[in-house]
Formats: sequence, C-alpha cells, structure tokens
Amino acid sequence: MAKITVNGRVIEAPDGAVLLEVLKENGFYVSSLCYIPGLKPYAGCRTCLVDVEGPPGLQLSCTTTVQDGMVVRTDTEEIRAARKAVTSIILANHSDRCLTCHRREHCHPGDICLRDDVVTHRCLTCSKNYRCELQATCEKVEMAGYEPWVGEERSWYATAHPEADRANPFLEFDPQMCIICTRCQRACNEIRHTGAITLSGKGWDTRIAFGAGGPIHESNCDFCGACIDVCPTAALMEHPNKWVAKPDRWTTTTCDSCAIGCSIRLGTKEGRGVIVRPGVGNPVSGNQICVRGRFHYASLKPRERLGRHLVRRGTILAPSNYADAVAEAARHLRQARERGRVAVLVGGTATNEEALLARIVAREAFGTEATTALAPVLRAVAGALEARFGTARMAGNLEALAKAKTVVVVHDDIEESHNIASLRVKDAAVAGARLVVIGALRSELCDFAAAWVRPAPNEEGWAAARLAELLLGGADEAAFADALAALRGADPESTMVLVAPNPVSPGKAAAMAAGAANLAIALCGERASEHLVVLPPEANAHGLLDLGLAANEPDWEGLAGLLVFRDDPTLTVPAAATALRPECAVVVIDGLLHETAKAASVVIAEGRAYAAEGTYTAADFRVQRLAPAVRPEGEAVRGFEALRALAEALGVSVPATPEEALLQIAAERPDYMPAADLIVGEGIRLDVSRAPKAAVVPLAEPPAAAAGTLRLISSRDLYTALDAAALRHPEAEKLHRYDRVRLAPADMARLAVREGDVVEVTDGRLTVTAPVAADERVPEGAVYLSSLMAGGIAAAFFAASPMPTVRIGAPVTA
Amino acid sequence: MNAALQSLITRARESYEAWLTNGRPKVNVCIDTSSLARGADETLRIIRETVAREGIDADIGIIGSWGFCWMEPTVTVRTAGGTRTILYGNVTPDRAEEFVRRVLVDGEEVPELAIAVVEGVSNEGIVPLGEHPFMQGQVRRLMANCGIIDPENIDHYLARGGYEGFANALERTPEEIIKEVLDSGLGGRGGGGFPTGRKWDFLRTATAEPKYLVCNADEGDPGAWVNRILMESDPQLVIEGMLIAARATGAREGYIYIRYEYPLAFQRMKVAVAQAYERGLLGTNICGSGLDFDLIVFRGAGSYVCGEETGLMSSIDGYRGMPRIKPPFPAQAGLWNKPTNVNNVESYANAPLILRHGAAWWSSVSDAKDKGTKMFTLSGAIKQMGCIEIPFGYPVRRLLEQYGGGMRDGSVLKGFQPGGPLSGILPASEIDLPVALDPYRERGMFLGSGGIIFFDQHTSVVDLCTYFVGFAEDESCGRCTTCHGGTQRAVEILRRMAAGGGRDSDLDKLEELTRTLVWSNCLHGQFALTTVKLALRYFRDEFETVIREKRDPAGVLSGLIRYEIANQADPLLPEAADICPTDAIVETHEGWTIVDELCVRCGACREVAPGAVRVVERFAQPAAEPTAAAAR
Repeated sequence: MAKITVNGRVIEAPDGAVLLEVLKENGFYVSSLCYIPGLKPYAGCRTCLVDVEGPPGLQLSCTTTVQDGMVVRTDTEEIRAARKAVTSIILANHSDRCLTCHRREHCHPGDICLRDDVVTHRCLTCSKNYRCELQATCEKVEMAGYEPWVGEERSWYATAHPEADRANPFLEFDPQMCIICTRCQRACNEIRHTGAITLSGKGWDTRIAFGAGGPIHESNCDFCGACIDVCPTAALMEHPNKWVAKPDRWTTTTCDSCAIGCSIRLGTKEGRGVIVRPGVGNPVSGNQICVRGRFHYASLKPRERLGRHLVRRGTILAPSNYADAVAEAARHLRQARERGRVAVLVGGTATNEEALLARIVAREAFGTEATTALAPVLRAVAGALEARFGTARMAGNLEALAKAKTVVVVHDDIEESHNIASLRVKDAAVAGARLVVIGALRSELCDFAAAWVRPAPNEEGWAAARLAELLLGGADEAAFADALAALRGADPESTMVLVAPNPVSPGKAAAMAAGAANLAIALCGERASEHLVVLPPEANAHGLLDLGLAANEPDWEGLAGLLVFRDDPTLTVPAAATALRPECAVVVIDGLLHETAKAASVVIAEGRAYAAEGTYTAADFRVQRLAPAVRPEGEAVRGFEALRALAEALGVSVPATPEEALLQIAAERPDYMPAADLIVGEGIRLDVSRAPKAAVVPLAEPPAAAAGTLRLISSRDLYTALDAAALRHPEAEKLHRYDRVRLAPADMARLAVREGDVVEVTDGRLTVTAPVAADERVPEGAVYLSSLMAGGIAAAFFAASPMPTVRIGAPVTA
Repeated sequence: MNAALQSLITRARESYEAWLTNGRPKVNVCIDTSSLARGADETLRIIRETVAREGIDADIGIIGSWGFCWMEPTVTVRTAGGTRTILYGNVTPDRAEEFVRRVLVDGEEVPELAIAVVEGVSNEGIVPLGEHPFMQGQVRRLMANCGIIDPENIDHYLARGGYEGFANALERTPEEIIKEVLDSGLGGRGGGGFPTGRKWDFLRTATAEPKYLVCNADEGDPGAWVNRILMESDPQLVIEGMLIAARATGAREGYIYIRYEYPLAFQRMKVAVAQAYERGLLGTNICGSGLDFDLIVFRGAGSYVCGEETGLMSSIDGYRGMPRIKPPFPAQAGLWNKPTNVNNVESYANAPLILRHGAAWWSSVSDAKDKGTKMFTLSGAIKQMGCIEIPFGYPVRRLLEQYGGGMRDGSVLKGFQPGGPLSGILPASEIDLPVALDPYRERGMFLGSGGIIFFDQHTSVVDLCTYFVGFAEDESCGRCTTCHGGTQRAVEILRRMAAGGGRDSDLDKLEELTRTLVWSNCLHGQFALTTVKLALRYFRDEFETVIREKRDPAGVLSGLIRYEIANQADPLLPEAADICPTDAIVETHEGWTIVDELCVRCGACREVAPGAVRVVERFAQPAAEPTAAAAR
C-alpha cells in the first residue's frame, strides 16, 4: 500500500493503482468521460486533470498511477480553469442546450422553443435529458450556463451528421450526440470481445461506426447493450421506452432468460419495467448481460399480458374476479381428481418457492408428483450424469471459467443459448486459455478456439466421447488432431468443461451430457464433477431438478385434470396438446393467454418472474434471489400468491410466504439454508459435493439418419422471447432472424432457393412453412430451426425421430 | 574485416570499376519524385529511344537527386574516357532529343543547360561543382552518393565505401558501437534531437524479446523531403544504418515505415532490401557473423500522425494509426508490445558514417553545439527550391540567400517556418538565427526534421494559420478532445476572421485554446496551435488589422478583398472570363464586370490576365470607380 496526500488528506491506496479510481473511491470528484474502470486508460476526454506535485503542468488522473508519497490536488484554480476549457471543447461539438438554456427547467414537450433552436437540438428532444453523464459532469464542473462558444459558427452545426440509426428494435445510435469518448468501442472490443464498433475517419470527421459503417443490424452486433451502459451521452440508447426510461424505482433481481442467473437492475415506472441495466455484485455476470436480459422485459406490450382472471363459460373464456377464479379452479380440479388423474406442470421460469408450492399441491391434493415440460430433457441429462458420477449435480463453478487455462465447450451454440457463459469463455480464451469447441454450428466461440471439432449435426455428444476415448487411450485421429494437441497436458485444476444439452431432443441432450462427462473425466479424473458445468435450458431448470420435479415425465394420455403453472407445455412437448381435450379440466396460472391457456377452464392471471419474490438455482447450483420488480398487470396476482390461494381452496396447507417456503426447502435440502440470508444480486453457491464416482461409460452408437436429406438442427436462439413465443407472437423474434429456415449458403445454391423465399420444410408428416435465410453457422447438409420457432415445431420433428431429417420443398411464393 | 563482406565489397568494386572504364559515355538521368514531377521519366525514355535509334554506343542509367530540385530533370554526362562529367539541369522532355544528340553524337558540352562540372575540366568554362554557389559551404556526407550512384544497384553503393561502417560494427561489441554513437553526439534527426546512442542503449538493455527496430520514413511535414532524397538516392545507406543499430541493440527484425505518398521511395527501398537479402546482407547469419536481421519495408496508409512514433507502431501493428499513451515507452513496449527503437531515416543514415570514419571525424565538421551535418529542404517564395547538407550553425539568412537564391522577384521576406505545421512561424527579423536546436526551443517551437519554408508579403498570417491549423485538424487521430475539438474551434475562429467576421475577443479565445491544447496526449495535439501561438507573438498587429479594420495587408483573405476589373480594354479579359470557375466575370452592356456574390477569389483570372483584374479592399470606402462608359 502507498500513502498519498490528496488535497491535504492522507489516503492509502495500492501501489500502482490508477489514480482516478483511487480518487473516486475516496470521494474526490474528478470528471472523467472516457475512462472505463478495469480497462486500459484511453485518455481521450482529457478532463480528469489533477495536479501532481513534481512534474510540470497538470496530469491526467486516468494515466497516472499511485506512487508512495505522491501529493495530489484536485481543486486548484488552474485545474478548474483547464477542466472547464477542455469541457467547453467537448460541448462545442455537442447539442448543449440542455445546459445552456435558461428555460431548460420550465419547458414542456409541446412548448415552442423560445430560443428558436433547431428542434433536434432542444434539451427536451434529447431522450437522455436529466440522466446524462455529460450533463451531470458539466453541472458538476460548473459549466451549466457556460457558453464559451456562443456566437461561433460551430462546425458541428454546419456539419451534416449521419442519420441516427433507429432501424433495429433494440439499440439506437445517434452520431450527432456522440463525443467520441470511444467507451462503446472499447466495451464492445475489450469487455465483450465482439468488436462490432470501430472508430472511423480522422480529425474532425472521426466517428463511431458499427461494422463497416452501415446500420447496426448489419454489423456483428449482438445487441448486448454494453455500449449503452458506458455511453456518457444520448448517442447510444435503448430503443424501447427511451423517452420514459426515467424510473421511479430500481430493483435488483435475477434475469429469467437462461440458467446463468445474471443479475439485472430493473427500472420501473408506476410498476412497469421501463429499462434494464446490469446488476452489480454477481460474480458470474459481473456488470454484463445479454440482449435477452436487457430487452426481453419489453418483449410484449403490457396489454398483451393477462391482466384479468378468466373462467370458461361455454366456449368462451370470460373475465372473472380473483376469488371466483380460484374457487372455480379448485372446483374443476377437485372434480377432475374424482374422475381420474390430475397432472401438475411447472414451467422453467418458476421460482423454487413456487415450484415447492406446486409440488405440495400435487402431492396433497392430487396424490401425484409435480413435474415439468423440461423433464424429458432434464431426466435424460441426469441419467447420463448419474451413470458416470452417481449424481446429476455437478460441482463445477462458473466463477472459475474466466480464469480457466483450458476450456472445453460441448454445445449447439452457447453464444445464443447462454450468452454470458460464452462471454466468460471468451474472457478465458483472450487471456490465453486453450479453448476446444465441439459443435456442428459455427459459433462465435470458434473464432476464439484453439481447436474446433465439428461433428456431423446432432452428434456433438459422440464427438466429445470420442475425444475422451482418444485422450484416455493416447491414440490420434486426424479429425481431433488440433483438439488433442490443445488438451493433452492440460492442468486438471484449471480446466473447465461446459455442456449445454440440447433443449429439444432428450436423446441428443443425453449424449451431449454423457460425452462431456466422459471428456471431463478424461481431463480431470476423479475430480471431474468439480470441473463440469451443465447449462440447462431455462432459468430454473436446476431448481426444478433439486426439488424433484424432473424425476417424472408427465403422462399426457387420459388426464382428467391438468394444473399448469407459468408455462405453455405445447411449446416444448408436442404430446402436451393431447391433454388439451374438453374432457380434461385444465387450470392455468400464467400471465399469458397462450395455447394451453386458451384451452383452459380457468386461467388465473399472474405476474411474470420479474414480479416474483423467491429464488432460482442457476446452472452451477448458485442460488440467486428474485426481488419483485414489476407489478402484475391489472388484476393479476403474483404467482406464489395464486398457488397459495389455490392450495387453500383445495384444502392444502402450504407455506404462507416465499421466505417460509425457502425455509421448508432448506429443511429438506440443508444446502439451501444459506440462501435464506441471501442478498439480492450476489447469489450464493450451494455446497455441491464432489461426485461419489467418476467413471467413463461408452455411448451407444448415434441413431442413424436417413441418407440424402438434410439433418435438422434446433437449439435455443439468442433473440426469441420465451413469453412472446408462447403467444406465437409475430414479433417474438423482433429481428426476424430466427423465425426463418436457416440454411448454409452452399445448400441454398444447391436447392435453388434465395434469401426470403418461403419454403416448406417437411419430414413427410410434419411441415413448417417459413422464409429462408442464409446462415454461415449452419453446416452444409443441415437445416436449422430455432427451438421456439412456429410454436416449438422443432420438438415435434425430434419427437418423431431421434435423428430427424427433412426435405426442403420448392419455394411456395416467389 | 569480415571475409564474406570483404569479398562482397571487392567484387562490387571490380564490377563498378569495369563499368566505369568500359569506354562508353554515360548519360544518367536523375529519377526521383521531384524530377518525375517535371517529366524526367519522359526525358529518360526519349534519351533511350534516341540512343537506340541512332545506334549510339552509350550507357544510359539512372541516378538519384543532386539536390538541385528547382532545375530538374538533372542529367549527368560522363565522357567515354571518363575524363569529364558534367551535371546538366532543366533537361525537360522537349529538350531531351537535341540534348542527347549534342552530347553524344556531336560530343559537345551544352553550356546553356549546364549546372557544373562534377569531374574534370570544362571546355566551355562551366564552373566546377565545388565552386557553384549552391554547393559552396555544403558538406556532403550523407549525400555523398546522391546523384552519383544508381540507387537501384547495390554494387555502386558497395564500391563507394558502402557497408564499411557495418564491417567495423561487426568487429565491435554492442557497447562499443553505442559508445561510438554516443561520442559522436548524434541527436535524433526527426526533430527531437534526443541522443541516438542513448535510445539504442535503452533497447539494448531492455529485457524482453524479440526486439524491433523501426525506421520512421513517414516524412509528412509539408516542405520537408530530406528523407525522400536519401531513400530515393541512396537507400542502402539507411539499410546499413539499421544493420549497425541491429548489431548494437540485439534487434532481429526491422521495419521501414514509408509514407503512402512516397511510392518511388517505397519501391526503391523494396529493391534495395531485396538486393541486400540477395547479397546476404540481410536475413540469417549475415556474412557469417551470426547476426540475424530481417527488414520489412512497410507502406503507411496516408495518415500524418503515423509519423509520431507510437502512432506509427500502432499502424504497423495493424491498428488504427493512433499515437499511444506513454508510458510505456517504445523501448519498453513498442511493436507488438515488445521493446522497440524508432529512429528517423536520417538518424540511421548517419550511423554508417560514424562507424566508418569514427566519432571524432564525424563530429569535427563544425564546432556548433549540435554535431554533424544536417540535410535541409528549402521552399516557399524563393528562387531555388532544393536540398542541401550543411553543418549546424549557419544562419537561416545564408540558407535563404545563398542556397535558396534569395526571394523570388517582387517578393519580400515576411517570415519563415522551420519544422513543419506543428512548429511555428518566425518573422523576417529572426532571419539571422542559426540552424541549431536550442534557439527554436527557446521560442517554444522546434527546428524540426529539415524543411524550411520562406514566405513573402503576399502571404497572410491569418491564412497561413488557418491552413496549418486546418491541416492539424484534418490529421488529428481523434483521440483527444483538446486536439480534434480544439483545432476545430481554432479553425472556426480563423475562418470567421478571414471572412471578415473577426472580433476583439478572438485573440483571447485563440490564446486560451493554445493553452488548452497542451493537455493533449501526443505532440500533434500539444503543438497543433504553435503556429497560432507564435503568429500572435510576432504578427499580432496583422491579426488586429484583420479584426478591427477588416483589411488584409497581404490582400488574400477572401472575405476582406474583392476583385474588380482593372482594365476594360485588356485583350485577355475574355480568357479570364472563360477560366472563372463560377462564371463571375460577365460582360454587360456597360462592359466587363465581376459579380462579387459569385466570385470565390480563386485567383485564376489574375493568373490568366494579370493586368485585367485587380484586388481591392472589400470594406474600404468604395473609390470613385471609373464607369464602364468612361473607360471606353
């Protein structure tokens, strides 16, 4: 530690630390508009000037490092003057009316501007007004009302700025507001390893550009929004809600979009979400989230969610009050129980506490075990792991990922399915880790990999198993040469194996888990379970696993009643549709009027996961807390409350609050006990012990595929919103990349189909019709359908055949 | 001496001697960028064709520049017996055929085109080269081969003492080489003047491997072309200098970063490097000495800031050409974050001289504080634009009057600019300053890399500032607010001033900007407003005239002047009207007139019809203009 004196006060700081960060941590104000904590200084804004005794002149605090005995001043007249002068230069190239207009606090959006400013330069026409870092900085350095360049014919006003890019549903870029601090460029490059943003031009014409300078959606931008988080002006903004995103409340909670459990801060206005920012303190996600985490809170408009409880009156679902709906639901289910079997189904975004209540209701009221539509895949994966490890709970820790020296990923594409895990894999690779990627799709990770093993479509698991065999047997095989070179001699302690089992095909998922398990054992021996992380489909899949909901698969045949909690099973299990007969009393507790809800006798409206209080168990058995961030729409209630009320109506005693429910879970599984004290955001890893055994079990041969046709690949895509997909919403995938039949360009040429042609994809019985899109990720001889496309049609193909093949018909329309 | 090198040199000498004594007359045309601009390639083609057509037995070759850039194309003619070599100038393509007939067929001298006698005695009283005013007082060491050897033939270089310095370096330890360079007092020739030996020692003592050498040939200052002369006229000298540096520092790979605008220098260096590889002077185990050194000729992409050493390294690394944050310094983390030494072309080129002749000889050229010779290029409103090599210490007046031939007819010296657009301008009263580093530093500017531009009374200081600050604005890398934004502010003010909108507060604003820009990261931003700073010091009254009286003493600021017809009867008027790009010169029933709203003051009409159009002050009381009728 070094001792430095700042404005006469002695403070301690680590030797060599960045002075700017030390000053800010110790409460000294230093303006800085380009620095990003943790990254190398860019030193572009030149406003973080301080006076360091010794060298002549002022120094930038972002490029100065702490040395013992340093004497620093942050408040001299010289600093103030220089800072003001520098800031004035920034403002001269920026629409500065939000600072300089004397009426800026009096005007309303409809007012005519008394200063006769061009409308786009007005303070009220900037959607970042009053939440702008530049504005705040200027006020802090006493620049408000300061107009050094008044009367200048500022080139900025004379320059034709490129049009703002508002062509995509997520990210807006207005070059006119840009001060070229390049934070976005560095966040994109150095934090996200995406490199979609560049600095183009030079001199006065220096600009931020996406890709080669075209629209954002034509670059390789993944819309993660890391650039928005760091932008100090209104140059980069979220498209949804940008005008109203001045929240009255911020709530840190957990994202419900995948099993990584990233922390998000959800800003709400009058109970509705208007903006999402990354949470803090989460050791896996850090301060990063993906496009789903940031934007899927707004995947549906409020009015598209269910705000009223519904009870069937003949052929129509009529609005009802809450008490009647619950009573009616209980009546239907009780009658069904008298008639026969009642199944209870819980969705993958239900909290542990909600799942517990559903399980109690299932046992006490219906004498059955609650289950989930994910059960086929979860059971298949669990089976594969249990055969090798004697347990399905792997002890691998995602926190170790970014620092791993060797990483193996067995996946369809975790860049799409579990984006932040992919980011941490990239972190590791950029830091020098040897990365081996096993997957038929050409994922972004391939660009970071020392070796990419590309098996035949859907044979990832077998390829991983083969690689394990070669590693253990010391043999070589040409297709695995690079992978073997990268993996031989790897230090088991710093090795991580990641597997993201396929969400559509239980058979493929089992093989992937089994292959990855064998590979982990080959690399890490008996401690393999501590180096293996399974990334399951959906946010709380591992919570459902821990609560036993994955132990049984639902039997859809001959059901007398069905209680569904926050799920549309038809989206993942084609057979679920067979249960939706008039003879079957269906009760749905959900916030969406999806296919299952439409067939229900009673629909109890509830808020989604963002309204829930409770916990999720993430991929690496990390328990994350959910805090109620949004208010359920209209008359809808929280899911937990709906289940509790239904239990009461059924005469079943259940915990009254989520806290009590968690304590009950902890009583049953003591490792959940610490979660009771959990702080929102940070998460706590369950104490998963090392697996009792680690034994390689060979895989059976992969199922044969029909020759001469295209193999079907399906996985979770990055962009489709789960809730909107359940509604078969045309904008479920707002970019319209994954509501298409995706083909390798070479296959498109061979089949004589062009981009946008509408074609039929059929296996002879099932058919889906959609436009074609070229996709360089897809291998030749395969066709890719998103798992959520067209009401989950892909699952139906996989249900019909373990290795489905399809034909592409001639274009339906030109 | 290293045996392999010795045999290389011996063989080269033999072949050079054989060529010199083959009994054929030799006509060598200077092919460099300056001569090409005046059609030297065409001259060479005509000479070759004439010789072939006439069946003349002669060697036609190429040479580099003699420094007589204002008389290009220059040609040397050596008689068959080798008794006499004469340097000719202005051998333009239209004169080439007659010229070659006279010198080769008739065996005459051509006194009207002759510059000087290089070797032997003239029959026609042509002066010996040493007595030519342009050459008197010049000490040609770096330029010893310039104009004499074929720059594309390594044998010429080897035969004339080339690689002897390197041979000496091979026999010494790195420490000894660095001591020799330190003893010589060689300072960085890019303008910094930092001791080259110390820089080399930083790299030698750096611990990381591999180490890199970079030759900065991104000579971007307008008015400076000394590096270009060296690379186009004697490229092997630069290679030898880098080899010596490699030997001294332990670097195994080098880059010559040549600016995009120097295609010929790039090509010449490529040829030279290829020939050096061919002879085993580059590559692995050079001349059996165990030294490995690879040299890559790298072409820039046209950015001025890539002349800043860290910007240059970013460019080679494949990144956007942006100067980096220092520290780390290049000797710690340069190319690919490895230790790197960056020197100017001329700095490297001095190393062979020091190693060949010793530090004492090298520094004894003058007793000025700055050691060694320095090349300068002179341009502007002078009679002779050329390249010279002199010891430090000569007064600028001598550069102007003797080497520059004085101001052009009708021009009066108003000031001069050493050191390029980031340096400053000095008034005519400072003309007796010596060429040395200190006096310029004391004035807050720098002598720079060798370009000196002289300007006359027709140059407006406001216009000059606008141009140079505009240049700095265009070439800013875009990192620092102060630089890319600050230069823009300055340009706005200067342009407004030039357009007649000057305000009293402008000078304070400009001064505040000069103070603010010092907070920039690299020299580009820090010195972008030096021109303005010095102009405000030395030419403040001119700014005040422009601001308060809306009058431009130089008569060029477009906002302050107006063109009008001076002579209705001038027969060239229709031609002037024709050339006007905005059709501002129109003939009405009252005669010719210039529509002021259309006129952009480009000056084309005044070039075509100097007597017909005159410049008047725009804001002066309108004189009683003679009406068109009266003029008639």
